[in-house]
Amino acid sequence: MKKFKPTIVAFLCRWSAYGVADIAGISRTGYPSSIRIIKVPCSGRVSPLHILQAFSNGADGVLIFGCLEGGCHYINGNLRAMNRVKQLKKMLNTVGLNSDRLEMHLVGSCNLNKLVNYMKEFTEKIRKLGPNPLKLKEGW
Amino acid sequence: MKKIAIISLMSDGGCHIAFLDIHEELLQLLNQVNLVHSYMTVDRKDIPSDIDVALIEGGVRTSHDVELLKEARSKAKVLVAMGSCACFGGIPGLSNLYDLTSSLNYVYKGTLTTVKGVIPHENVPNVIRVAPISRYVKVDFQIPGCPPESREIRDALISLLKGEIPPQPTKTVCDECELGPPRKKPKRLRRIYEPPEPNTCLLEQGYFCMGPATRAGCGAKCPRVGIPCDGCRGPAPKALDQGASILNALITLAYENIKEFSLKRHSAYFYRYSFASSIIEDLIRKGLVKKK
Repeated sequence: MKKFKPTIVAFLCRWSAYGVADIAGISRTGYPSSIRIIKVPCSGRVSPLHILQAFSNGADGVLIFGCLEGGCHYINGNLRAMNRVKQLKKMLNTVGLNSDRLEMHLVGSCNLNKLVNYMKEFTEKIRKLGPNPLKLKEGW
Repeated sequence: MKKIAIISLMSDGGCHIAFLDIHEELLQLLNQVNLVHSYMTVDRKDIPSDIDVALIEGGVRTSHDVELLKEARSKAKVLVAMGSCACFGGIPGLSNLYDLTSSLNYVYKGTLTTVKGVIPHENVPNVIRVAPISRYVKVDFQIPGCPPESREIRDALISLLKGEIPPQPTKTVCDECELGPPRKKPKRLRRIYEPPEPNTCLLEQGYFCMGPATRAGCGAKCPRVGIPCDGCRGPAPKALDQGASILNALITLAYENIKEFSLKRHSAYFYRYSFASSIIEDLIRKGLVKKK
């Protein structure tokens, strides 16, 4: 049997995490190939709807990166996103969905190792949880 | 003369009453059409063939409903989902939060007044998960609402009989409401028995109003008289999921200040009418969620 390779949708804030992911590429640090990056203007743009849609279309996990506290380009978008994720996790738990598949972290625009570590840890975690049963086709 | 039929599935007849509530204009309408099947007004058990417009009232709950629905689809040229149960699953859709066996056990065996209950199994159709009718057949037009506005049913019928598709409202209840928009964040959560202040947005005062996530078309009837919207018209046309939209709106507005706002207590409000067609229901149906 082939080794399970998860598909993770990552929403990256363009002001911090997206730049860091760029540096990770340029400096050849690298991050797991399971991560599919979506650039957002601010982590506050990510609505619960986007997250639910990712799951229903077969993503194995959803990862959100915002700026550090106090460093948001739009005053408090990252804290709102944190709040949204927290409440959505509660909602998913209420209906019985495993909310471990959803995570949010705050990274500064120079925390290269931190970002890559979060991505690696999350990939390992999802690998242990197994694939999303809604996955439609291989190699999505 | 064109034929219309009203076919009733899992429903309480409220939408049927809303149809009859077209009132005097119903007489003008009946000059042009022939009402061939309607259990409240016409004494006929079977569904006649070659119907021009079939109005389906109620969602799907039993295998009998599915049969009836498929028969209606095969006989009707235009199929209209009338009411929130047909469009989104409605309030009974909330029973999808629990699995089928435990809800059957609760209803027939678990209630306090039941001494020795038996789940009916002879000569009754199978109970299946509550679903909107669009999961089984193609729906040509939706008239949401609980019950729908009578004038909406009338307007839709008139233009459907002409062969046109009537326009759908694209905005939310908040766009029609005169009280809003909220100018400041609410300080505390208010319950429905506390009298609201006049001419102030209900969300701003701390009432749980579903206006931001609900489809327009009702003229914001409830908020106008101080009753918070409960989202009976389902999600706005471009939003896929009503609960996620209102969660999105409320987090910015309410969660920062109000600590007592617990999702466990309010999740039934989020999906009161649209749980059976929500993304979460999809996740449950396809097996991502463990059974409790």
